[in-house]
Amino acid sequence: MKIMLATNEPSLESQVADRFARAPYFVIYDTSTEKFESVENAVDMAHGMGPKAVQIAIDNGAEVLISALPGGNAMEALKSAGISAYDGRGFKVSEAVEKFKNGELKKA
Amino acid sequence: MKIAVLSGKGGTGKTTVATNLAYSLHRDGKKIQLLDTDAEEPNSHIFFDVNYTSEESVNILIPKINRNVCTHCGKCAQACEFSAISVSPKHIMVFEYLCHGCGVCSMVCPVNAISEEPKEIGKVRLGRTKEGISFGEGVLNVGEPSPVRVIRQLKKHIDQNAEVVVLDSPPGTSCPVVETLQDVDFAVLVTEPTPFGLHDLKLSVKAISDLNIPMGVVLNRYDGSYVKVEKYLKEENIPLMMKIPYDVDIARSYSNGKLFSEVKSEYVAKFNHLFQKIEAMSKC
Repeated sequence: MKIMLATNEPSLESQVADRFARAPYFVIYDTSTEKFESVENAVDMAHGMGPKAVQIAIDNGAEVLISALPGGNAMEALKSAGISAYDGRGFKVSEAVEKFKNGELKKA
Repeated sequence: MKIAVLSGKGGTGKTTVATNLAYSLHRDGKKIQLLDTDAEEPNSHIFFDVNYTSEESVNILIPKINRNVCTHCGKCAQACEFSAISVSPKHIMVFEYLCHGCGVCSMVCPVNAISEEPKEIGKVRLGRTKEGISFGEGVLNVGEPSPVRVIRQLKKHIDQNAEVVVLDSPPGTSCPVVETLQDVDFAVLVTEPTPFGLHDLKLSVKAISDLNIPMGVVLNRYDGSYVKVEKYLKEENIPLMMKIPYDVDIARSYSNGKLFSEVKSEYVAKFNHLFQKIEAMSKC
């Protein structure tokens, strides 16, 4: 399963960013291979960043999102795409993934 | 001759100058049209007794998805500049408030699953003031994010027979102001002698310079105490065309929704003098 995390840096040591759609990077972590890829997030619009970020999750086949709390438009898009969102604030990427696996993250 | 009255800062006196300018030129016998393009809060009409004669809807076309036909290929979402469509393998959704109505989604859809249907975002109202000034205003519906289309539709009603069209612009320097400034002959910048007025005046000057429109400044509520605005204008070689003093009579007439040039009739000549300067400058 693939998990997308909104992060400050493109690494597993990065903190989960305190914003979702305007986070500097997205890390896409594959739980079956334990490998990850990262996507730099081009923040270039005044509006519509939420759906744009959700589209990145959809296009990368993520089933789960770990980030700060997504906004209204993003939540609607996530719901429509069947992606569950979890609150990963305060954790490193690696910690957040572990906590998610153990069922310790709160749903956003 | 189309004159836009604008300012970076809100509350400097755009509407005061636009309405008194329109009134004074009308009093001088000119054929005038006043258009209020501040569609988020159009209030020029308060200074007049307007007899509205027509009202029309401003619509944008938003995509309507035929879900039985959509293959979820995602081409529409890729093409949309505003992320107004989200496509997943199972669902497709449209964010109406993000949609700018450009129609590119329906153009790129390979299976014709997207049609377009109109959605009202505002209104254009037209009429005539009691004095006989042709009047129009754009009114954006509450909750709509952008008045640009409302302004564009209002400007289609510019009277080609009017000698002078005065446009009362929204504040700021973003899209609604740029839309107002399209095809105008002169920009009158209204500011006040405060650090806030000066700061936002500089933003406006930058925007108008980029659009290459001749401009001049009206300094409102002038009392001579803060001179940095005048200093800046001199340095930048921008003409200071008129000073409206800090005057309790002017403030009082404004508070009562009255045109101060009607109460203090010497201003009719002063605004006509302002227009003569505008005319001279717009020809350079």
